[in-house]
Amino acid sequence: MRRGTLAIVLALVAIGCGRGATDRAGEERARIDSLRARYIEAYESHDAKTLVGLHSRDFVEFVPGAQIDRFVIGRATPPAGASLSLEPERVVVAGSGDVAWETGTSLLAGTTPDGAGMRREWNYMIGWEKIAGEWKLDRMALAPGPP
Amino acid sequence: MRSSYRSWIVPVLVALVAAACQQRAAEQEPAEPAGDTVAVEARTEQQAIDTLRVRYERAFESADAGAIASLYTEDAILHVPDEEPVRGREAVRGVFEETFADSLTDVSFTIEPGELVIADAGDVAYGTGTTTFSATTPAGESITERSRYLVAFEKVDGEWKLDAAVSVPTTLEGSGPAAGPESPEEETRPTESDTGSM
Repeated sequence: MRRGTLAIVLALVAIGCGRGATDRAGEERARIDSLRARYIEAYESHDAKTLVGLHSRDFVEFVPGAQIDRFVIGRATPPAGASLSLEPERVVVAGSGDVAWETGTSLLAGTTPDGAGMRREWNYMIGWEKIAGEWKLDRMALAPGPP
Repeated sequence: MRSSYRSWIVPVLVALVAAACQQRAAEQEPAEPAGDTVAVEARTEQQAIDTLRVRYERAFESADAGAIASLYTEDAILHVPDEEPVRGREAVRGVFEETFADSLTDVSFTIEPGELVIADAGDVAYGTGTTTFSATTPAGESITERSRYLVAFEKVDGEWKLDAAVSVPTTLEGSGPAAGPESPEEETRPTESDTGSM
């Protein structure tokens, strides 16, 4: 009976040990998921202040034909009511939980002021860096999806 | 005596397992070393990634698709404009075999690395930079393509590999990012200069 108890205790400790790193990576991914959701919400509501706060101070973005330094804050305001989606295909978090990256697809859809339908698809990649305990978008690159 | 033996052997064994756990965690997530140590380790990792860059350039100029593919992880993913994503090392090899089948001559491929961000654990990194590709076609036409890139690296079995990348031609005019609303308060500075890294 005691041997059984001992074995169970040790097994539980070992299982807990194995799950530690996995749980930590999972927690960081969940935080990044949450930030992505905030990003989309801020973008759709034209909340520039929130967007700025989600980026690192030396954020750089690459888009076809240009490099945009500092905060992303791109070059086109989305039409009112436009919806943005960011669907990550892979999210990789470093074991130290201070650097991460993700890649996936982005879709912006809506109706332009003159009533025309708009749909833009992109493949994207984001470099995330944890600064003062908070994840920030640090680098972003966007490539238009296939026609 | 026997019962006291049993009373302490459990906590001792648990402590040993816990210590092993901490050791494992420390390997995966090292405690923050002193500043100098961090700097030295970061420099070492940066040099290792720079070696990867040199190998990439040489493989490209040798038109060695296999050598290029070997620098990527098994599940690497690449994005270039207006193309379906390239997924996996074998697909990467196929893309470069196709590229090199064009019988180009005077091939030159350079990577200008910029800033690199490396995790404290030394297992993941990302960086930006610019690539310049030039060659002469069989018809005698000179071509030059310049692209900016964002690339992610992963250390696999102690060796840095390319894990993901987005390459964006500097000459391709786009209509703006999907994710990046205008902010009148913030300055945006499109520029042709590049700060990239690899």
